[in-house]
Amino acid sequence: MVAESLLSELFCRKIEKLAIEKHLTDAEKERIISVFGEVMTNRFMDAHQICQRLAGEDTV
Amino acid sequence: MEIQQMKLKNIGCFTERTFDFSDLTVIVGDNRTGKSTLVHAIFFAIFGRHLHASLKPEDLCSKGEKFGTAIMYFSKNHDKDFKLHRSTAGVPKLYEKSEEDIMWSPVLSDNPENLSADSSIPAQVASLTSFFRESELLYFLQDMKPKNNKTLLQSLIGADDLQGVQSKFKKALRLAGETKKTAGHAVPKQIPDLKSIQNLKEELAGLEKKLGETDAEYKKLLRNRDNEINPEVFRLLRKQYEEKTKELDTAIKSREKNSPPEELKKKKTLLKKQLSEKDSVAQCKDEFYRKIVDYEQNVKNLQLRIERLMDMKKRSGCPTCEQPITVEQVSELISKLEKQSVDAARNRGKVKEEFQKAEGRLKEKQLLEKELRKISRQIEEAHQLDKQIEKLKHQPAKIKEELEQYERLGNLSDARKRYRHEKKLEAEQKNLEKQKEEVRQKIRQNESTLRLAAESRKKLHIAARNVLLCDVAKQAIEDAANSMTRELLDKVRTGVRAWTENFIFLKHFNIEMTGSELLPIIQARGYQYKLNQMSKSERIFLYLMLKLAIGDALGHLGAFVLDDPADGLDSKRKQTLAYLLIEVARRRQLIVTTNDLFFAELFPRSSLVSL
Repeated sequence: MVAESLLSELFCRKIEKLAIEKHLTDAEKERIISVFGEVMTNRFMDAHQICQRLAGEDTV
Repeated sequence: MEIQQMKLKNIGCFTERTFDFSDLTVIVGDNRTGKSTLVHAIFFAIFGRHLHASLKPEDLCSKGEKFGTAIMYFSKNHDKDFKLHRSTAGVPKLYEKSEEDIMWSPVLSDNPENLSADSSIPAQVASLTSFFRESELLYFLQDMKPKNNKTLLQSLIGADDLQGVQSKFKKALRLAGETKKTAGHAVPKQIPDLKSIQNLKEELAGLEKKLGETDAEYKKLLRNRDNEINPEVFRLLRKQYEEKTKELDTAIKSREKNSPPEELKKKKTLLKKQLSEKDSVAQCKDEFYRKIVDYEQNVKNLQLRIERLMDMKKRSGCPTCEQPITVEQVSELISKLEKQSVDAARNRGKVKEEFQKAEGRLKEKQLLEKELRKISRQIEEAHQLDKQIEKLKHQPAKIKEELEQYERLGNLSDARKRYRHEKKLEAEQKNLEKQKEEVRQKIRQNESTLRLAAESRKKLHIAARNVLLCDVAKQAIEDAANSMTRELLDKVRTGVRAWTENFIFLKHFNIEMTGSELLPIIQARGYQYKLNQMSKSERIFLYLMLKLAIGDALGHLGAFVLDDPADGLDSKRKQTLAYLLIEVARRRQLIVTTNDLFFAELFPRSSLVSL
């Protein structure tokens, strides 16, 4: 993706904003950002895995 | 990046050739002298691919050669020099050297196959923003319009991938919602409160206390029981007495019902006597039967002989020796035999009568035997009953005596009362135990439901939190995608505005980027132009400007390579183009190829390379 770094930057900025709004913990915030990073690098990651990873469950 | 030098070997028409580049380099050459090959070689050296997406790097090799090589020398940020050695059949190698270094040192890469001179820009973007091909123009115009529901910008920023990521997060949110719904169903509808469990525990404590008291009282009763008579023993003795008395009465009654034994014995003797008299009957019957059979045989023989004699009488001769026999002799013999036959038949009748009489007597004997067996059985029963009566006769009296003795031992009424109390306590104990178990069961059930409810609520909370996280992630990716498209479009717009200042020629047109799409609306003198209604020169200038503007927005190599941009332009337009390119060269390194010497001479400060 051409503007991946721009997208990541915008995503992180938006997450920071939403984390304050929705009272997310730092760990949750970091988890979302890390899952997003994984999705961007691993195109085979599916919705089920995203859901599990966001819930903090390890996937095989 | 700034391209300094290119060394080509077995690439296109170049067997071995070195090109030096400055900030503005003009390559001049006739047709089929390798201008486009050089442009393709530059792209290949940077990205390892062919500029035409449909062609392979091997297509760049000179005819008959197995592979070609391109070595490119370039600098980045004016402080580091690089050397990129790329072959159409081999792994690329990148070397670097600082100003103070003398030797090239290799740059290690995790994935040398995908090594690029500028990894910050993808080949697809670089192809659009840093390379200008006349042949591309036609397709460019088509690409400017939404194609396959995607605009050029959408294609460039990988809208498909982005949409895929967005849809994955959307689906993840849906899945999280479903999980939450399932977790919600798992929470028990009725949850017992702690107070009710506490009440049950109190109830259990009360029951245990009561049970302890009952148990103590019961144990006390058991301790005192050793000194008192047991009404249960009394009851059992009484029961035994009653049973024995009843048994004796039954035996006596049965004995009375039967005939006296003396009488039976007499009857038996008489029957035995009668039977002994009839013992010979069976033998007589057999003898009579044998006699009947003999007589019957005799009659048959006589009949046969008479028949033969009758036959002889007819023939008047002996059938064996053929001697003549007189009729008188035969008749006499026949009458004699007939008389014997009649006698034999009469005797047989008599014997038959005797046989029937013997049969009747035999039946009588069998009846007598049956009667004898019955009497013998009665005698045996009478004996048994006598024995039983003799045995039971003293038992009730003995038990009664024991009962009286037992009664004398203590107060039976008190013992009975105490016994009843004991039984009552036992029943109460049993009942309390049952109640206790029921209450315990209820407590266990309630605690288990409470535990289950707590776990389910915890799971529901986690699921709800996950829904929130998925929702936040989905919102963030959607907003980020929209912002990115907006930002990129703004950048392109800014670029268009900035470059329009230089492209004075295009000032006649009002070029706007509409909506979120990279689709320029071009207006001139109040009329809306369609792209394909523009003249070729107008399109070339628009193409060039958009390439520069998009390059500012999405990124470019720092070098701009143009393959014969002046083709088809008149001398005036060529001058304008040259003027514009000199402006561009102030901001980027420029490499221009042309077959027009007039056009090449319009760049007075450029390095001129002739092919």
